[in-house]
Amino acid sequence: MYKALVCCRAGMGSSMLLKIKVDQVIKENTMDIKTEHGNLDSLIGFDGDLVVTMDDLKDELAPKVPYAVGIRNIMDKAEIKVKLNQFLDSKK
Amino acid sequence: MLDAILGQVRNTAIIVGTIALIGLLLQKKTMNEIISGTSKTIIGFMIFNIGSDAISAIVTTFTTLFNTGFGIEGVTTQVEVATGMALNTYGTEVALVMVLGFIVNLLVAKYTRFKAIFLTGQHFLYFACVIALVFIAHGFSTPIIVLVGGIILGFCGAALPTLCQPFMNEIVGSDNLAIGHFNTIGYALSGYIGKFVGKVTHYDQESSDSSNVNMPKFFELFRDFVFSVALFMVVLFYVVVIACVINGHMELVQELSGNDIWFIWPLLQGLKFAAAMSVLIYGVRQFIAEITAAFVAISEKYIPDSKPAVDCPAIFPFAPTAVVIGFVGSFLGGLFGMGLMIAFNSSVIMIPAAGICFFSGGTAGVFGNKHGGWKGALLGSFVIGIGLVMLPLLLYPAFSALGISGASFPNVDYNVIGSFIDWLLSLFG
Repeated sequence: MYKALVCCRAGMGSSMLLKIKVDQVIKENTMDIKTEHGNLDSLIGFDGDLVVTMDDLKDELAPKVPYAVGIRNIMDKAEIKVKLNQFLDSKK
Repeated sequence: MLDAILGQVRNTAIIVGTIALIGLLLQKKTMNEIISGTSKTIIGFMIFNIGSDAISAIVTTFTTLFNTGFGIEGVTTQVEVATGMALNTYGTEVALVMVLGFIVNLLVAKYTRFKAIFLTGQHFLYFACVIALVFIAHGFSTPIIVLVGGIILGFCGAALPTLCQPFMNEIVGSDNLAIGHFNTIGYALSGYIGKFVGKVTHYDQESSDSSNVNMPKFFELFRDFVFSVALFMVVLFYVVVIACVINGHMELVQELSGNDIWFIWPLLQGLKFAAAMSVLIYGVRQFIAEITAAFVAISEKYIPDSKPAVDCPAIFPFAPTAVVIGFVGSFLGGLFGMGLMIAFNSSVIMIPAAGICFFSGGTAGVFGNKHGGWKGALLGSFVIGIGLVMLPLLLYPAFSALGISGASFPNVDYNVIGSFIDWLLSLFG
């Protein structure tokens, strides 16, 4: 079971929807990932395996976390699926 | 006993918890999820209250200093603060307007050509505050406020994003996303300003797009919401404290700063404001979470052709530099608007706020950039920035009479639609 943090700047609207979409993808594809939701402050003390965020924040977060996924269109489940699978492949 | 029960159900935390409970039941969640989801929603609302109490205290201090230092009434344009105040007094009305708004939004999307489902829960909450307050100011009874207010809110949620749809389709590159941020009138305007700028400057994608502009790295700091609020408030506190000292009110500063040294105290107050804002946002996130999840689940299941209207950062990845240009543009617009209020001897001065400039200004930047490049982004967000500080003047007198003073609701749609309702109601006496 991998632990993922879904976050954005303020951690309210867009990352909330991103979390819902990520959860849908995880459920439909029975991926072994559990998500939690937060903002940039939630990174402090985060001990999980990956962070899912908006694409424009990815480069900023990448050096600070084990693995960062940046999503360009938060409603695009195909994109989320491809990127989560890349993460899972990297763990094999 | 009946009175006691009626009094109890007026508790906003309970109303919010009940909404979450119904949402979870409708989704047929497990017993464990229902119990934990409902409790977490209520706890989230209580955290929000703690944050909003803390922030109100600091805003009171700030306005006291501002009013003493400058001799005019200063009002922050922090929507979260104004909402906190509104919920303390009129929580029941606001919460009920919001829940009916959700239902009406679903119905409108199902049966009319307006297909947006407004998924930004906190914006629904803020708009519910504005609408409820306008009706309360005209002395309507709770059932009317809830019924009419809810219908207006739900209709706006489904219809207003339509204004921005042509631009959204071009920005995102597909027709499956709407903007769920109540500045839609402003964003569409910024989009048209961008088109105009593009025409005048013979815009071509190659050379004028914002992605070719190198913004100083410093501005990237503002991507972190809590940090930008902190920096902004520290600067504002220094400005008002220095104004007080210069104008001979040192004793007030000394009195308020207590044991802290007077010139270190503003730094601490600014940071404390950001701390309180963190708590408040943490609470909003927690109490909106289950309600939004239910809203998403219901709309996806029963209204498959609906279009999700999402919070503005969702479009930031499509033009990240335009976001930063938009922040700068709307902040400059805010300062310009402030200058106008001073020049025209306005009795109230609205002060631009970091959060609103970043999110709303940044989004206006993305819209302006589409056809106008960086110049379109800058001009579009500048104009919106003026609107964000000037428009709250319209409703502020009515709201401050209800006790919501020192903070205001800056977003464009709140004020345009709110003033329109206010005007309509005044026609009927």
